[in-house]
Amino acid sequence: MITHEVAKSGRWGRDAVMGTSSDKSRFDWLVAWAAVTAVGMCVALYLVFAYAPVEATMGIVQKIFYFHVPSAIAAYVAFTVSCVASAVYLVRGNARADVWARAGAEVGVIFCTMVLISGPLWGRKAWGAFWTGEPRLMLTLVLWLTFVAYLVVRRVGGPGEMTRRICAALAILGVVDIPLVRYSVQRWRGNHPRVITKGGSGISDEMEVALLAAFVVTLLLMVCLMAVRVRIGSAEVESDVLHRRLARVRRRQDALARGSLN
Amino acid sequence: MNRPQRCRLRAGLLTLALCGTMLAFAGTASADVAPPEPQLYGEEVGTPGSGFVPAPDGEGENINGGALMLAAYGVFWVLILGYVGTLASRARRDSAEMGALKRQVTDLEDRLDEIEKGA
Repeated sequence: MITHEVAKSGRWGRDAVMGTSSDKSRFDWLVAWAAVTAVGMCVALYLVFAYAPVEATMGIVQKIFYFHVPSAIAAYVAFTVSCVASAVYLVRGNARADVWARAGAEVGVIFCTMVLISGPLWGRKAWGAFWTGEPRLMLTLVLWLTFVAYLVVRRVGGPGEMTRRICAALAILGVVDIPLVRYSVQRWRGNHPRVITKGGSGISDEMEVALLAAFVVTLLLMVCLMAVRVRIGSAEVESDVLHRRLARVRRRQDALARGSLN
Repeated sequence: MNRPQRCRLRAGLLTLALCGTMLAFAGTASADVAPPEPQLYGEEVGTPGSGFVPAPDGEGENINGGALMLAAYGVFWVLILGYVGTLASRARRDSAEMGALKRQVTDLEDRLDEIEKGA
């Protein structure tokens, strides 16, 4: 299905890897995006470490919060992209949707890993323990494991249609966990602090500015990584198409050789 | 999907199921342990008469928050830079493979076209 579609409308894949003019413009766009992200990252780090004050109760370890929370949001966005793209793939068999689904899962796992590592480091100081069995932590771990499973199955299952469909279903199932993670603190009692609520944030103005900058730059970084991953994914699809084309040409060569022998 | 791919997929799924079961048991075991009481920001902890015994001077646990923060930011950068490096190497490999494949296909097709014309 994928091969047929790419053969029919494979311009996006070929452009991504064959060095055409549109590839060059896409590359420039990505470089500009990466440059903006790098500058934004420097500004955000300045705001976090020089502008925002040190928190009174927890001290310097609270600075983890400025990238812990945005990383969690970036992971949710990436996983949601993977889910939507997976649904599109299941309905339409669209090759581009499959590439987006895989990119979303991969980038989401990177950000979710950050959340699962930075959170316990913060918890060691705030709670006196790296890990507790509270709902949000366990649900985040389940979310991470679901998408790690997605990536493992994609890797060991090869490029077959069945693997893609199993993974698409896994991505859709995994995203069901996100609202549970989000509302677990409100629904079930846990240790997780509720700094940002409907009534506003419980942090100072300087901290809010730093948090906002970290949010923006983390989302820029997530989009940048996903765009690069999509470009590589489209190259992989195009590579499959070329392999098939090569096999066809070799069959033609064999047929010609047999014809000349006869 | 051919047979070796099916076997690999089955082995991967079994490994995942095993890991998931082990983690579920670990989660249940850790859930049996009562979590510490929630601590709210700005709330006074250890007020007189709450039953806590103060540690003698200098013997209290002192967790180095700076080291934890550095570790968290270190992990953040290692993950991001590691992933960017992986993407760069994949892009280079794909680009080289695509170039070689495209040349191979074009050469073969041109040669076959010439042979067919000659015939």
